[in-house]
Amino acid sequence: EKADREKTVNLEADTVTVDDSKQTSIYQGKVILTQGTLVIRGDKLIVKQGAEGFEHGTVYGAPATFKQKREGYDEYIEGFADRIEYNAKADKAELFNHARMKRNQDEVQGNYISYDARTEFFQVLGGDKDKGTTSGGRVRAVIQPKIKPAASGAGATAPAAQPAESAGKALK
Amino acid sequence: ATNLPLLKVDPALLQAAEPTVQTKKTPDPSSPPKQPVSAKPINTENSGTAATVPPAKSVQTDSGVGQPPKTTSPTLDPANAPIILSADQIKGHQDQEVEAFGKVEMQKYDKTLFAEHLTYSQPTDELFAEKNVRIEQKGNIITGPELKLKLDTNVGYMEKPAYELAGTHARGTGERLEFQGEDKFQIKDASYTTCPVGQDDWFIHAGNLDLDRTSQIGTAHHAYIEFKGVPILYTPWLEFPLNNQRKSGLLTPSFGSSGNSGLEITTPYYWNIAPNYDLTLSPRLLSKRGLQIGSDFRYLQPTYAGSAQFEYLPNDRVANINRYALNLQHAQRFDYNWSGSLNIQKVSDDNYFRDLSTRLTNTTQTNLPREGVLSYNGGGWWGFSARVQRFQTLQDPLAPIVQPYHRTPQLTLTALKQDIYGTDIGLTSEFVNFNNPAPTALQPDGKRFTIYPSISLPLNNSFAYITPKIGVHYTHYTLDKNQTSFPDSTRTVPIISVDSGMVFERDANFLDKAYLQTLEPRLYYLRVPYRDQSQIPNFDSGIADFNFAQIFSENQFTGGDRISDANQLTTALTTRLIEPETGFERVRAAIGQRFYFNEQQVTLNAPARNTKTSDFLAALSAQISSAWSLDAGWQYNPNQHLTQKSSFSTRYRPEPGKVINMSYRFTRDSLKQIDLSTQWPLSGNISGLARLNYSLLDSTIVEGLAGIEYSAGCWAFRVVAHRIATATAQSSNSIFLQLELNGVSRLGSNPLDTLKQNISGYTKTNE
Amino acid sequence: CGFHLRGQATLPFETLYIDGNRDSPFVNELKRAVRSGSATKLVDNPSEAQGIVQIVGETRQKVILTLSGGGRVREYKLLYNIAYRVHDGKGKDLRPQGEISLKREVSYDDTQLLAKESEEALLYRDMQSDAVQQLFRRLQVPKLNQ
Repeated sequence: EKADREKTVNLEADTVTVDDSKQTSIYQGKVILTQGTLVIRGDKLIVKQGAEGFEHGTVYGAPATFKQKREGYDEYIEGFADRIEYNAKADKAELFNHARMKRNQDEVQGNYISYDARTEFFQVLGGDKDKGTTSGGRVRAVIQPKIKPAASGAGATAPAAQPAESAGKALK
Repeated sequence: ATNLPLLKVDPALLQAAEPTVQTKKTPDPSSPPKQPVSAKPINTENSGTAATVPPAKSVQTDSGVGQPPKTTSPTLDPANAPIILSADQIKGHQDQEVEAFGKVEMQKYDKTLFAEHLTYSQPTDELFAEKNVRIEQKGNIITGPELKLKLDTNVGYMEKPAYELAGTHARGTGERLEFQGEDKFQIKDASYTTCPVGQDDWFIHAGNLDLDRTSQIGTAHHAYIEFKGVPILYTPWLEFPLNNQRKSGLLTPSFGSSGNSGLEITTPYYWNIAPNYDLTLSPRLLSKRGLQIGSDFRYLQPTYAGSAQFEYLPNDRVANINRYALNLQHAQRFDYNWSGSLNIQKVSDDNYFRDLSTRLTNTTQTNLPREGVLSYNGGGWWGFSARVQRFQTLQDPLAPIVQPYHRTPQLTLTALKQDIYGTDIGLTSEFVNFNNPAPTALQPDGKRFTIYPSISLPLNNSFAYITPKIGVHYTHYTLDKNQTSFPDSTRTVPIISVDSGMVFERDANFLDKAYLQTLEPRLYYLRVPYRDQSQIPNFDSGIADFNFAQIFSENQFTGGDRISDANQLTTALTTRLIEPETGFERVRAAIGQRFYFNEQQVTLNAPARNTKTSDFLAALSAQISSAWSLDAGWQYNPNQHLTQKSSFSTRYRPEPGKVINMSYRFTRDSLKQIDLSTQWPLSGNISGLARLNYSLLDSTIVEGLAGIEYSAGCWAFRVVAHRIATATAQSSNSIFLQLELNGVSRLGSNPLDTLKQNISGYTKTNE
Repeated sequence: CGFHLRGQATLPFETLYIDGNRDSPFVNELKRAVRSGSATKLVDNPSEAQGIVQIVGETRQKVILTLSGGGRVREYKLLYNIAYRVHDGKGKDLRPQGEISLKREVSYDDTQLLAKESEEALLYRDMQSDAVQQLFRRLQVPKLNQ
């Protein structure tokens, strides 16, 4: 959720090597990064510091995992992939190869998943993002129908998502 | 043709029926219900029971608003089943919408959907798909360019649909298909056919086509039928079955012509009031006579069932009278012991059937029964029944007949108690009040009371039996004195009989197949002293046919007014070939003859027998293989060395659609007929239908039929010419032209009953 | 010529339940045949029975057989049909589901309606006893899965 930005980042790992010139540090071995509700785990994590501190992280793992609470909901988003690139400033995550993202029973799988926590917009591609191919592999999604709350539309505390009518645009 | 069938509901058959209605044509997939109440009209064509009990509607549970999703596995509850998507690319907003691109495949509970682009809105549970969309549910397949569907209520539309229904694979296209909930569609500007893809022989085009898969009924509004490109019939409203169950109330008009009524057109309307009630109204326009309204209301309940048919033709222009016909059948089981039935038939005038019906079972009726029966079953070993029976006699001026007695009432009590110290004690007793509509001196009104107790001692073991039996037959008549000179009288006569027989067995071979062969000699001695019965009127007695059932009975006469004197020995020898592995009797042959030890004294409008022996009887019946069956009978008079009666019939039916029946029937001085009938494929999908029933005695065609049936898989066309003798030197010819569109409708006059009656073993080729 | 006296009829059931319409004379006569013709015991409760003979259908039909030259009925054909199932009460059929179809011919004359009615009854009773004997013989065949 948004509040994570102000929380302190703590990291655990077996070893860490720091490269001040590029302002990056590389953690290896059972790496765990936590910042508020955000938890990132993996075998190797490259952290890039920026003016306001933790700016960008790239984690490798089998699989690397990423977990964060949704803004305004008592739910957690979980991501799994071979490599996850997390942009803390923009609160965006990109999952590469064998990517999988879960929330309650809803789940999406594909070769590449991008997720913008602020707009809650996600995109799943079958192709190999690194090689720039978009087609090729298939993607899957399992959606549990929402139990319609009495009020229509999204929950009362809708996150600052793009206005709902954008979703309606596609529904002629 | 009026459809006033001769329908008899036998109360003995009445049993607490399951509340399902037995649909006529298809065998019941689940095990047949126990002894359904068989209110079975003989004319099953357009008055068969057609109400179908809709299967339990799938439970559409709403899991409650605002509650957290139940933890039960989602697949149980269709509304909550998860949606599984696979595609080339998916994107969307959490809890908002999901959009999928590229060979999208969606699966939810029993729905599967394919498309190029799909958007699913989670809050409204609605999905929108475009570019070669295909949706499959419960076997129904619908394709089209664009689909919108609310998943939980199954409401939505598909543009320019092409559809194929499960089961009959009926298919068609349309402008727009509206999904109207579970298993209900409405298609605008629709076409519908049961022909397979690639065979576009016929279509129903409808401004509006409603398909309801739960009640399995399709309804077309502003419809016209197009056959081979030619529109042949417009009807504002047409209902037809969606499954193979022949909804016999097919509602397309049928037309024909007949000599005495001119051109006629019937347009039946079927109203499925409730699963156990239905009504068929058939207005019938007769060019020479006017408009006749036929109605057939049927009902089936667990404890009672029946049908009421009523036809009304106000002021028949030819006969200048109002004409009507009524046929009420009712059978009811009141409780464990009591049951009853009604069989009431009435017509307005004697020529009603001859003028208005071509149905053989009607035109040959001369006495219409009006009877009510009440019976009590006393635990299987005794029973009581009360019956009131009257008749309406339809006189043919050319051949007037004597009206039968009315029995108002007839009370019977029968009992048979077995193993009373090794003996069987039987009792039949009856009281009848005979009422003659036109009493004469010889046939007065009168009351008859009969009681006939008997005791028999059945001694048997596995290979032999001997059953002596003695009974006293007591009858008392009280007659209407000012109608007849016959006095009141009583008749008491003892009846003594000894029945005996043995059974021998051996293994035998016949046509190189192993059988168990039996040899069963039987001797039956009967002694009945003579009683003068010349002063007794004859209410219901007659001479019984001489056959293997009659030669072992205690009386040569049927009914209760004449008891033949007897001092005779009947001998018979029967042999059977029995299939050892199933116990089925494949062949039975029997010969028999009776030897008289004194002269016949009791006669009934026939001269007394003056011979020492009876005619010689022989009978053979064989079901050698599933295709071949054969029956023959011969009655030979040894004293005059001539055949009294003979019959020979055989049927060859290798498979449905191929049958040949041949039979020859001869009765001295009264009947000499050959009867050939066949249904045989000629070439490709044309099969020939023919029947010739030729009387050699009168050298006339008693009944003839010739026709062909062309079947093209999903439709069939029949042309049938039928000729039948209706009175002396008079016959009625009719032509049937019928186009049957499989599963939908039959256009034209309906020859199916006539075909089934004329060619036994006939089966429709497009079945 | 190989004939020998018939041996004792044995049904491969110690106990049998006949499941049919209790008003039908056929059912009563079948019960009598089993009682007197074999050692099998008839029980009133299907659960105690080793085998259940279910009389699925008993139908009678009268069809015109011959017409005179003048279109009047000369002979009727009487059809009598028994459909039966022999099962173990738990849905397993112990015999192929069978049918016994019999037919008799009776001459007809409009003026003797009542006499012919009792003659028909005589012929139906004859067919009924015939059907009982045939079904009784079919029951003697060893059980399907023996």
